[in-house]
Amino acid sequence: LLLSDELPPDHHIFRYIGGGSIHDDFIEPAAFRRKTKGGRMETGLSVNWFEWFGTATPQDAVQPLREVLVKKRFGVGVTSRFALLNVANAKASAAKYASVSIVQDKQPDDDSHSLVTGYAEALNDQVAEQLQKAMITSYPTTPK
Amino acid sequence: METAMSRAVISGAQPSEFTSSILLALFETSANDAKRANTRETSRWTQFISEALRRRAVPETSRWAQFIGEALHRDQSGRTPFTTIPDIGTDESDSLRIFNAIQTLYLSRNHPRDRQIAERITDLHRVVLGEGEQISAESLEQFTEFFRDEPELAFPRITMTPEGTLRARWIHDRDHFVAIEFTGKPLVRLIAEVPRDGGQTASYFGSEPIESVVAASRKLGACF
Repeated sequence: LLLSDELPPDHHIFRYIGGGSIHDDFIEPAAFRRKTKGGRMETGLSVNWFEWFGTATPQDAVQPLREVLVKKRFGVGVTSRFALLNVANAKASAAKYASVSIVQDKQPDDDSHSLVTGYAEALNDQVAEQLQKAMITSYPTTPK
Repeated sequence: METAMSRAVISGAQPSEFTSSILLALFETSANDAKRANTRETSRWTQFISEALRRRAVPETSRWAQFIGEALHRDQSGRTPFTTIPDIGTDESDSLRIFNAIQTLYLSRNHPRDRQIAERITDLHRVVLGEGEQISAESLEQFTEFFRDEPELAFPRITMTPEGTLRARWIHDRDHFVAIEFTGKPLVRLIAEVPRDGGQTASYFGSEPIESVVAASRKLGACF
C-alpha cells in the first residue's frame, strides 16, 4: 500500500461492532481485533472512511454505510453499532504498542473501505484495546 | 457423571421455574440448526412454549430440551406436537451443550448472580444467532464451570469475541479492569490494566491456566 493511501489525520473511520460485542453501553475491545480465517490473520482491520460519504455529520453517513454493507451481503445485526474514531487519535492511541497505518483499501461497491494495518499479529489484542479507547462515540446501524 | 439435567432432576426443579425466554433460546438454537429460524417461526414457537408451560406438558425440567427437539422434528414431519414425551437421549450437539450451560447457571442455588449471568447468556445467544453466529460450546462450558467455581466474583460485562469465544470483563475505570477470555482450552486469555503508584498503569496480556487465572490476576493487583 502506498503512503498516499493514508487517510488524513483529521478524518474519521467507522468500525462495525456486532451485537455480540456489546453489553449495555459497553463495547468489547475484541471487536477491534483482526480475525483469523483459515488459519491466517487478516492483513488489516476493516473500517470505513466517514468523509468519503460526503455527509454533513457521521450520523447522516450511517444509512448509506449500512446499505453498502448489506449490498456486500455483510450481515448487519439489529443491535449492532458503528463505532466512530478519529484517524490521528486512533493512531496515537495504538502507538502505545505499535505504529499503525490507516489506509484506503477500495473494494467492489465499497470505495470507503479502509484498513488499520502495519502491526504484528502478536499485538492484535494490544492494538484492539487501544483502538477501543480511542472511540469517540457509536451509532446504531439500524433505525429504531 | 453429574450433568445440568441430572442436577435439575435431583433438585426437583419444575418447568415453571424456567422463563419462557430460556426455552425460546433453546428453540432458536434448534431451529437454527435446522436452518428454520425466522420471525414467523419464532412467534409461533413462543406460543407453543407458553402453551406447553400452561399445560405442564413436560413433567420434568430435564425433559425440556428433548421435548422441544422432538416437537420440532414432529412439526417438520407434519405430526402434531404435545403428544408423547420421549426418553432422554444422548444428544451431544452444540445446541444441547449451550442449553445445558444456560440451565446450569439458571438452576444455581448458591448465587443470584448466576441467574443474572444465565439471562445475559440467553440474550447474547439470541443476538448472535440473529447475526448468523454462535457462541462456542466449549467456551461456554468452560465459562459456566468457572463461574460455578468462583461464586464470590461480581457480575461482569459478558460479550462474544469475533471467534465465538466468551469474554468476561470487570471494569473499575478506563485504565483499571481485568478480562478473561474463555478459549475452551486449558489456557485462557487474561488481559488486565491495573493502576500503579505515580499515575502509571501496568498492562498485562497473557495466558493462564483456568484453575489459577483468578489467583494470577490478583497477584497482578487486579480485582473482580
